[in-house]
Order: sequence, then C-alpha cells, then structure tokens
Amino acid sequence: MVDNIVFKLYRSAKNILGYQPPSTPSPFVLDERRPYDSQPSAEPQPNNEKSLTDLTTLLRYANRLKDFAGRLDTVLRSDSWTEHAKEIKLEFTALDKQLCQLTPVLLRYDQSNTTPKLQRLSTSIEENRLTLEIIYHLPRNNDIRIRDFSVAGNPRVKAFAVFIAGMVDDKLLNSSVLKPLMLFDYSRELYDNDFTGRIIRECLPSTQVKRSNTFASLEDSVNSGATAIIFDGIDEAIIVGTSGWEHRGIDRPQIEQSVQGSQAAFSENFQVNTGLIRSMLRTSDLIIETVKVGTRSQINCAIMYIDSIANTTLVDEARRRIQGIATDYIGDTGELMQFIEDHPSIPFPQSLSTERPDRVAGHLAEGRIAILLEGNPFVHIIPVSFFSFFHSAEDFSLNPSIVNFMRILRLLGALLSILLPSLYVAISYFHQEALPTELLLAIAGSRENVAFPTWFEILIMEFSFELIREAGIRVPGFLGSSIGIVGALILGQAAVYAHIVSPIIVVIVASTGLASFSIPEYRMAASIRIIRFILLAFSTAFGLIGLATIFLGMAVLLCRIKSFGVPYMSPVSPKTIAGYDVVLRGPIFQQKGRPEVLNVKDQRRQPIISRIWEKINRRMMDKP
Amino acid sequence: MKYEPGRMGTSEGIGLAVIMTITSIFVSSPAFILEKMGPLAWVLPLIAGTIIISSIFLLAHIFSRFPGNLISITEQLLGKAAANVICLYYIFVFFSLAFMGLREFSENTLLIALPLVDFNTAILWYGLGAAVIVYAGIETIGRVIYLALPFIIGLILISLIATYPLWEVNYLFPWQGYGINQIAENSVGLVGMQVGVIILAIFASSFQTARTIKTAAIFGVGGICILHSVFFIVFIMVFGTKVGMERFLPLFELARLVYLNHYIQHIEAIFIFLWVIVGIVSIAASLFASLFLISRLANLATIRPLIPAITFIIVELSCLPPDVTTIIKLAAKIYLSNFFGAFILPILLFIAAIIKDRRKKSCTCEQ
Repeated sequence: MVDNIVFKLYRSAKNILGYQPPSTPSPFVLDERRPYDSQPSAEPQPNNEKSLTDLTTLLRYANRLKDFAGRLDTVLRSDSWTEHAKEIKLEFTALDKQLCQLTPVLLRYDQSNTTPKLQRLSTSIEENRLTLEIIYHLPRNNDIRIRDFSVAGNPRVKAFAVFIAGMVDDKLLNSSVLKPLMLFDYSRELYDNDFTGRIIRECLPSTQVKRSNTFASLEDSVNSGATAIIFDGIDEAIIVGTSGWEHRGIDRPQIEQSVQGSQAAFSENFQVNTGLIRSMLRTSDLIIETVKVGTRSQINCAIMYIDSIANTTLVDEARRRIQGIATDYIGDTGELMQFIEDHPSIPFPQSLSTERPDRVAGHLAEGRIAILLEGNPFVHIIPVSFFSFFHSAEDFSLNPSIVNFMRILRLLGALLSILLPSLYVAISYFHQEALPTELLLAIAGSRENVAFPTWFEILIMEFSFELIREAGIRVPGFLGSSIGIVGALILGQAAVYAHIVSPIIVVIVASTGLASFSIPEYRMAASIRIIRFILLAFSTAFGLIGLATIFLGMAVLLCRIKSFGVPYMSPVSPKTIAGYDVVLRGPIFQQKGRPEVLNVKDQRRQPIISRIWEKINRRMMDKP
Repeated sequence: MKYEPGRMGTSEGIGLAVIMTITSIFVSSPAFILEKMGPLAWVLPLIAGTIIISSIFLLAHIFSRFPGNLISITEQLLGKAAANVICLYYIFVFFSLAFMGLREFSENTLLIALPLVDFNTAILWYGLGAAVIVYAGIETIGRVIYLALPFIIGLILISLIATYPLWEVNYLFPWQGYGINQIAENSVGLVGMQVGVIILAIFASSFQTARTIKTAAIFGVGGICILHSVFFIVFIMVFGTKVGMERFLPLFELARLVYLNHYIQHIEAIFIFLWVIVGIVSIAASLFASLFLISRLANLATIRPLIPAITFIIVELSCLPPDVTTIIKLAAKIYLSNFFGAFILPILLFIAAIIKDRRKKSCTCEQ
C-alpha cells in the first residue's frame, strides 16, 4: 500500500492522541526508603495495661498509707494511745514489708512510662548511673566523664560527678567541687534532714549551685558545662556551675571596623556578649529573656529589649516566632533568622547583623530588639528598614555633615554597584545617542580588536571579580589581600592585552566592585550583587526598558516586604516620622523622638531643648 | 473579603492620585489637548484639576458621613441595583484606561527605545509587568510611586528647564487661545482624562480617614496638575501651537531637544526610564481597580486567581485596534464619556447623601 498523505496524517493524529512513552529503561533514582524506618524502634514501647496495673497497686498502697497516717494522728492525739501501740506497730511493719515488695513495681512503673530523660532521680546510685549511661550513650560517648568518689563524713557517702570534658573548667571543678567534698574531714552524720541542702550550705563554695530531681534538667545543665553530683540514697542531684570552655576573648571588630567609637566586638561566649551589652546600657529595664532553640541540641537564645521602650506586641511576636521553631539544631544566628523572618526567600536582609555591642545598645535604646545565640559572635537586630543597612557604626560619633557626606557616598556606591554595568550595556547596545560623540568613538575604538560582545565582556570580568573576591576571603591570612590585589591587576591587564575585554570594561567592573564595598552590610551588598546580574541580563535583552522594569520590580519588592511587621521602606514609603536619621542624619541633639514606625512605649528620646546649658547661657546673657 | 487592602495613609493616597494623573503627560494626549485649546492649553490641567479635586472632596464628604467605599455608599444611597450598574460602569472605565494605556505605552516603546522588538513582545512585557505588580497589591503600588515621586517630578522638571535655550515666549500668544467658550467647553469635556483619580474613592474604606483622601487629592492631583500646566507652557514655548500639535510624544521630543553643552544633550534616556516606570505602574493601578470591582460585583473572596485571566483579556483587547491612531481617537471619545464618572456621579451621590441625611434628621426629630 502506498504511504500517502492521508496515512501520514492518520499516523500523526494517532501518535498525538494516543501518545505512548518510548519503552526506555527507567532512570536511576536513589531509593528514598530507609531500611531502618521499618525496623521496630530501639526504645521500649510503653506497656499501658501493665502500667495501669502497677499504678492501681501503688494507688492502693498510697490510700492505705494515708488511712494509716490518719489513724495514727487520731491515736496519738487521744489519751489512750498506749493501748493502740501494739496494733499500730503491727500495721507499720506490714506497711514497711509492703513497701519493700512494691519498690520494684515503683521502679518498673517509673521506667516503663517515661523516656530516661523524663524520669525522676532514683535513690539508688546504680540506677541513676545506668539512666545517665543510657542518656549519654556511654561508653560510646568519649567526652562524658563520670567521676566516682566518696564524700567525707560519717559514714562516707558514695557519690559520682557527671560533666563533659572540655566544657568545664578543670581547676574550678577540682577546687570548688571535688576538693571540698572529698578532702575535708567531716566527722558528722551527713544522712540527716535535707542532705543536699546541707552539702550546698556547708561544703560547696561555688556561686552557682542548684538542686535537680529530674534527668531532663540535669542533662540540660550538664550540656551547658555544669557538673552534676549524684549521691547514694538521695533522689536529688546537686548541679554546680563549672562551665569554662576555651573561647575567644573580646577582640576588635573584624568586619565592622570604625575609626571612632567603641573597639570591642562580641565573642562566642554568651554571657560575655550579654554582659558587654549590659555594660553599655546600664538600666534595670534591659530585659534578657532566654529561650531554648533546637530540639536535639538546645541552645540558649536571648531576646534583649528595653522594657520601658520596646513595643510589647513586637517582643511577644519575636518570642512567639523563636518558641515556634521546630528543628533539631540551630548553630548560627543567621540560621535562626531564616526561621523567624517574614520573607526568608527574598535576598534582602530583614535583620541587621552586627558584631558591635555599641551598635546593639544604640538600637535597643531606639526600641528595637536584639537576638543573641549562644556560641555566636553576631547579634541580629529587628525590625529594620532598608536605610539602616547604609548606616555605619561610627555615624553617631561624627559630625552630621561628615556623616551625611559618607551616607550619600554609600548610597551612590550602592546605586553605581547595581546599575553601572547594565547601564553601560543598555546604552552601548540600544541608546548610543545618550553618549557624547567623542566618548562613543573612544569606546568604539577600544572595542575594535575585542572578539566578544559587550555583555560577555562584562560577564567575564564580573565573574573574575567575584572569583578574586571569594578567593580573597577563603585564602588564609595576609595571602588573601595579596591575591586580591595581584589577581585584579594581573587579570585585568592580561585580559586587555589579550583582547578579551576592552579597557573601559575593566574600568566599569573595577568601579562597580569598589562601589559595592561601600555598602556596610555584607548581606545587603551580596543581594545587590545578585540583582546586578539580573539587571545585566535584562538590559542586554531590552536595553533601558528591561533595566527600568527590573528596577521597578525591585522597588515593588522592597515596598512590599516587611521586617517583623515593619514596612521595609519606612519611613520613606510609607511616610512616618523618623527623627532626622534616615538617609541623612541631623544633629544628635535635635533627634527628639524615636522612630514612629516602631510604635514604642516612650516616643520621646530627649526634651525639645536637650542642650540645656545653652538655654541657661542665654538666660544669663539676657539678665541685665 | 481578602481583596480589601489594608490601611493606607496619605503617602499611598498621593502615590495613587499621582499615577492616575501623571500618565497623560507621557502619552500623546498633550498634542490632542493642544489641538483643542491652542496656546491656552496650559489652563486645562488647572480647570480639570479643580473640577476633579472638587469631585473627590464631595465624595470625601459623603465618606465622612457614610463609611465605606464608592460602591458600598452607592448601595446605601441608591440601592443595590444602582450600585451594580455603577460598579459595571467603573469596571469599563478602568478597563479602558488599562487597555488604552497598555497599547499606547507598548506602541510608543517601539518608537522610542526598541524599534526592532516585535509588537507582541512589547505588549506582553508591559502586561506581564503590570500583572506582577498587581500581585503586590494596591498599597505597594501607592508606595512605589510615592518612593519614585521625587525622581519622577525632579527629572521631568530637569527635562523642562534644560530646554530653556529653545523657549520662545511669543508662542504663548494669543493668550486667549481659541476663545473662552471653546476653552470652557473643552475643559469640562476633558475632565474625563483625570477620571482615574476616582480610584481614591473606590479604595476609600482602605484609607485611614476621609481627610486622608482629601489630602491625597490636594497634594497628588493638585501638584500634578500644576506640573502638567508648567509642562504645557514649556511645550508651547518650545514648539509653538502648530508644530506642537504634530508632536506625537511631547515629553520625549522635549527631552530629545535638550542641548546644554557637549556633554549634556539628548537626555531622552532618562525619559525612557521614567516612561517604563510610570507606564507599567499606571496600567497595574487601573488593572487592580478593575479586578477589585469585578470581585466586588461577583462577590468573590479574592482577586488573585483573576489576575492572569483579566490581564490576558486586557492584552488581547489592546491588540484589537489596528494602530495607535485608532486608540487616540477612541480615547478622545472615552474621555468625554468619563465626565459622567469623574464629575456627574459624585454630584449625584452627594445630592443623594444630603437627602438621606435630611430624612434621617427629620425621622429623629419626629421620634
């Protein structure tokens, strides 16, 4: 049969309507099923029925004990208690025997119903030790130390101390925990009323001592560097603060260097960081709320604010968001912010990250909130506006005219950084009439021997610049800056000589790179760098039309997003009262109010006339 | 309703008022006005502005007594059927503003910036841009324009001032134009060009108070009308009436003429930047108003699912006219009909509000 057009059309229609995928072997897909998912859980499942029986037995015993206590009270109050003494003694003996019988039931009930962490401490030192071994996966876990000793006394009391090697200060542990307990001779009976209380009062010369009767709180303290002491026959442990791991001291700021103002930066030590802020803001209104974040590794996160200034709703919201994080581990403030900020997928930073306590103190005084995370030298401030990222640490230390000049410079730098390459591409491709003829001829002349289109030249140079920048950060020590300078010089020169790029491109990319460094906040500079590439792509395709559209899109995005409920472009759009510190900064003595957009409790920062001495001078001059 | 935007302040109001009035400077309507008014064209923005501000004031007065927006107060004053009809009318108004704007801006983009780009690409570009902005909401639209306002006004003024070597004051004469009657007739007729300002009344319930609407109208519409008037004066002084009538894109042509020295000349590139921003945002604002009214009419819970469909319809509608001249002619007719929405309807509502107010008072007295 001839294969004519009718058959071809028929086959095409059949193929389209009844499409069958070709029978090719299925591609390799990594098996997502995990073999250990189907296995029964290693932890014993609670046996509810058995637990119920145990609980009923224990309740019966408790009721009997209660009845006995009531009867004993009645008998002892009556005059004829001697008549009932024998009866009472018999019943007491029976109850004592029953208690001995019920002890295993009590232990079983306790252990079957709860995970080891949620159990209460037992009076048996062996049981407690076993439970701790389960919690800390001993002996697999190498840095968990259990140190057996006996407390000096009459009789000597068996005890052990639990701590994590590396997190405790060994000297402190020896001198203020082990030495007083082991070496001092106590020829007195320790097993008396309030054993742990006596030990705390009489033997332990530490400032941070507390009691604990659950493994959960014990574990929490030990994980934070404390030492737990467990005694034989006592269902309570003593927690002694012995934390003292090695950490960096207070250093000069590495990223936010300034020529004026404080030269201290945060370190990895949580207490030191909060202390630094407290030392700068000496008010009892400064609240440091601590919230644990992470389910597996519980790290302290502090919410700092000044109670008489900060908006309560904002504080509640920050607390609610931090408490509402469900993850096993958070190791960095940046990670934490991604969990709590309004728009985590938008590259623009929605919190101000700083390593300077003076900056944190300044923002707290304005009514903002600071968020600190244990082990992290960066503090995040919320809420912030777009313009906050162009302020630097020494802005308030310098004269307004100098600061304003620098702020304008930074904003111009940001504008140049974002627009210059794409503007050059757009004008050179689509709007040559915007350039003076001589400049146009100069550009054309410089590009004469270059083989690549302008957009590609810019892309190569931008990419090289980014590589040099990244290498400069990653290469250790002084080599980093050397590589940056040498790389830029050699690469630019060589690229021009090799006719890969024209000299004007080197000038444009170098200017753009320099301008990007004028933005004080790293994350803001990084997001601007990303947008620069998007703008470059669209200006290559659509010239100024593409550039303006993406620029508009960016403006829409900035006007739409919020930082913890505060519009990102405030106080410009929407317009609010900002107090002479937005793009430009007025004299500090004229900044009477706090930013209106924060809706703080106390709007007034200082009286209308803050230079009172000037007023007094005037009065004195007016006097005849 | 989810589509009810949040609380807007004066800055958002000014932004919306500006974007709905400033568009006419950028497109070919100045040439059209010059044809109608002659050397006295600069008076038109002032008259039209005064009339439209009065309309907004009348509506703001109603809002201070009957809380709600334009449609809800129409329902209260004239009944549900009338409210639906009015809603349909304003849907038509904002639809027409959106599709005419879309066509004019896309068509002129090919003329001024991208002559080699396909027309469909340009129209899709603007349509897509507007749709994306609509997703951001009316608050954001107002804020973006308020943020860009200093740059827009500043750059327009720079463009105008930079043409001062070409100014010929004699072109402003005869100062009476084509006669007072002609001026009065055309001024009233051309008020419809500013009908977009009614957007303030449509989103009245989202503004903080009726006073916010009044402030936005005074500063937004008033400021732009003065700018418009200054623009006409400069435009006439540079081109004269006869040549000016032939200028298809007056602001672009003015920017193109700039020659201060060897390095400051041909500043139309700046104009392109403004052109795109104003064009896309004005289309987005009209599109948002249309969507809001459609959702209101159909009692829908949200506008977002409608955005792609309505944008597509507007893009298709704007592709229908064979050329941009047809659009300009069509716009002239629509502007005349818009006089009803810009002025007559606010007066009608004001009268109805007064009657209802009096009735209410008399009922209270009788009790």
